[in-house]
Amino acid sequence: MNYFFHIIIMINIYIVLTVSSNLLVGMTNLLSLGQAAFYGIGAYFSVLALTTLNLPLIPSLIVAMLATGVFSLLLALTSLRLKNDYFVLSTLGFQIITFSVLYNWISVTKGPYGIPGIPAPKLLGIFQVSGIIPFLIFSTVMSLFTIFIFYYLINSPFGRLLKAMREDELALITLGKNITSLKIQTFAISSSFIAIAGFLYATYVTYIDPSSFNLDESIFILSALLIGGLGNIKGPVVGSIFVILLPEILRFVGLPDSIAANMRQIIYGLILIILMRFKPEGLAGNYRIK
Amino acid sequence: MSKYILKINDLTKSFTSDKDKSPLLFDSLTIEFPAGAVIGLMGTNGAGKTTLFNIISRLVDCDKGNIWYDNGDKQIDLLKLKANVLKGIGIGRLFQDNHIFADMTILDNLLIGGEDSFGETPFITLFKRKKHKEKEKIRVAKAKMILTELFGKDNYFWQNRNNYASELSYGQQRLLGIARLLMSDHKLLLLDEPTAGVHPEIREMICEVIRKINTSKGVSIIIIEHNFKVIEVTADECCFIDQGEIAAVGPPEDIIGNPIVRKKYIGI
Amino acid sequence: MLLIQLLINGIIMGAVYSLASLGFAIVYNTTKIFHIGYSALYMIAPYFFWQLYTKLGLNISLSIFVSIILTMIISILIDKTIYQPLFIKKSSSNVVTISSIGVVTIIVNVIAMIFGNETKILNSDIANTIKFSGMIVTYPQVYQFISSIIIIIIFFIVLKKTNLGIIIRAFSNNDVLVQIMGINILRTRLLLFGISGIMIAIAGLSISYDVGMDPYIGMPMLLNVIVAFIIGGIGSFAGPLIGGFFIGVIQALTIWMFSSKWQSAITFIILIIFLIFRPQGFLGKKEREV
Ligand SMILES: Nc1ncnc2c1ncn2[C@@H]1O[C@H](COP(=O)(O)OP(=O)(O)OP(=O)(O)O)[C@@H](O)[C@H]1O
Ligand SMILES: [Mg+2]
Repeated sequence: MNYFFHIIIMINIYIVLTVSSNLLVGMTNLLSLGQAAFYGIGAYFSVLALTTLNLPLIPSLIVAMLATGVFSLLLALTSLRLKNDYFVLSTLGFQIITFSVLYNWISVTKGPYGIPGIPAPKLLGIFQVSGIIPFLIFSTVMSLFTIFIFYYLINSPFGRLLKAMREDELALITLGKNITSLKIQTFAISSSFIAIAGFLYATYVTYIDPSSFNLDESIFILSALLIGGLGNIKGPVVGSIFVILLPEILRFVGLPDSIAANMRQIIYGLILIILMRFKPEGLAGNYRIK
Repeated sequence: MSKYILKINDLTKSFTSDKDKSPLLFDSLTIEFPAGAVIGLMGTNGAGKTTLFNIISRLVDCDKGNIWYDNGDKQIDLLKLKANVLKGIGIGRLFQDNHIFADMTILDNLLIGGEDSFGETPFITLFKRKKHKEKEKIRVAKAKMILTELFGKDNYFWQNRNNYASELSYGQQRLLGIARLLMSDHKLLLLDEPTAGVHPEIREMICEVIRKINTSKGVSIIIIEHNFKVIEVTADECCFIDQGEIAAVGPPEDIIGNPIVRKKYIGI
Repeated sequence: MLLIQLLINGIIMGAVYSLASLGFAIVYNTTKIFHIGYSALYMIAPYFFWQLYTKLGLNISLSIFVSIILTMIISILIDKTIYQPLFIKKSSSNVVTISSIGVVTIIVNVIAMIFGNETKILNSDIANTIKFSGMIVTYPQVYQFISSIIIIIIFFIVLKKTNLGIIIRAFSNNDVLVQIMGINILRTRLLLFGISGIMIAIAGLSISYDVGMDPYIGMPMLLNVIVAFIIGGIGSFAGPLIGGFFIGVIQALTIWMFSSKWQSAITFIILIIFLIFRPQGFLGKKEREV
């Protein structure tokens, strides 16, 4: 049973990651290879808030979200003028630099040794969110919260602007809208919600190290999103469920562990290629990336 | 002192940084557009009409010059502004190629052109749901009104408002573009070939609309056209651009009768 | 003294970067494909060599030759099966980039599944060295430098003196012109991918012969290659040379001033500085407006 709960918690974490990333990739057509960097920044700031600052759950979460939002502005300001491949490249750069700092700035981040023993966050001064059932509830609440927020955003006039922007920036400019500020807002919102996933991950696993937030993880998040599909809520949710369940299914059909990990990656790669060729909007999305 | 809406002063533009190699598209172009009038802008293909619009609407930079815009209480040099603030001071633009949001519904296309931007700040609709609903209702009502005004009751656009704009024909997309412009009030409209590719009947209707916007609301309009008839019907004054220079200015009849213009256009 | 030694190493590494980014440039300048699959080719060449030389016991020159040819074939196959169908469908650049990520994921994991994750050593002898006035250069380094320079020179001779060179130059200036000249674009692309595959295979072999390889060496190399390519200047073929040596020397200086662990961060900080202030790189032409 615990195993089953664990899967659901992981799905919840990835729902937060992909639903938030969808705002950037799916609604704004900004392909980012830096999502794991935000995830990591969120996780490390969560730990900072929980341990050094000794804050309870909600304030820690807010600290992590704000901090990640601020970092996203760094990337936004440098990369927003860039188009297509150049933009992807700048997010890649952000990913590499962030990882390198997390890995090498040992006096602050403990580098490759990681930070163990992350304490259970305290909620309202009474509850300790620790143990699998409380975490199941906590992560489900957070993923539903994220879904709710982004559903609203996508279907508000703000979401309408984003849809217009990903289609025709020029027309939108002459209609008096500020493209740069729109993109910055998307960056900030998307990444600060990714920080929630960082918080969940850090407090659930109670240990973080930079390897959970490297380029491969960025690619993984992106794959989950693209496999599920862009532009709506259903896509990312389907994608998250898919990428988390697939390894379990492979294990279930009796693939030896030694090749299961590689096999899984190969399948993701194949699916990406096939989807891009025949169904760029993904399994359940409604937008084809341009 | 003649009152103008737009005064272009000494405008110079070339398309490469290498000035020796490529000829200037505009070399010290100077021209004044009177306020409250419909001005036709004619010229052969590649004369620089669209580029002039692009410079005015700040989508393309120029090398030198000023563009003075009369904003009621004061004169503004447009070249000092960013493209996205032009709508705020009353300048609207219709593109030569349909810049329609094809993967959005017809209605959403119109709503985006709306005057009031409530709800475009993220999260605000979460906290002010009632206000949001009201504002949205007002916008939709306005869209309906404009469509009815333009195309009559039970028009195609309103009936299919929840269809994607990509399903519209080219001509219909042009019309949608015009309707989108009308969703908010302007002082100056830049229309780049509004009647290109539309049915003669609809062309007449567009001409009517242009006249109506001009007379009833006093909006100044600059309209690029290749069609003599449209110019004749709509324009108070006309201006012929040839190779980046103003070749002739005057009432439409004169321009259309002008031998240089006739030679350029019909070859006689 | 140490500085000079480091600079020598940096220049040797720079030669390899130059070669590798030249191969990247051949693809990007002509097809505008952000060829992330290139990283897999860098890694796969030494694995071919390892199989042929260490496992099957073929002689060394034959092993080198065959592994270069095999890598070239894979490069061509990637274009034929993955990129060309997308080109024909006029897919967007982001779609191509994502497919390219899929390619890397598949190849890397296939190799990992077959050969394992651990580092493989190609040359277990203690490397012979050349010493002069206190500086040390190892034989593998000599091979790296000389093979890179020779290939680069050959390429430029081809580029300047042959019909193929004319086609490549025409191709990289303007697709339409090529069509007018009556050249079969799809077939020419295969040729270009072949050349590019040969170049990266040689880079991969010469480096791995020195330091060994694992399935994951491709991505870090690709990152350096891309940075060298961008700061050299997109669209030109001399750009990658300048960029390659520049990155090599910068990395040497990074070791001198900080430590080798900051190499990737510094490399990408330089990239980002370029993207902001001189996106066309050292030699690239400024993009025209709108
Ligand atoms: N982005 C650009 N880069 C280089 N040259 C350009 C660019 N845009 C326009 N031009 C050139 O400037 C000239 C004027 O173009 P413009 O689009 O303004 O013509 P136009 O008068 O609107 O013609 P048409 O009646 O065909 O619409 C043309 O010769 C065109 O080739
Ligand atoms: Mg034009």
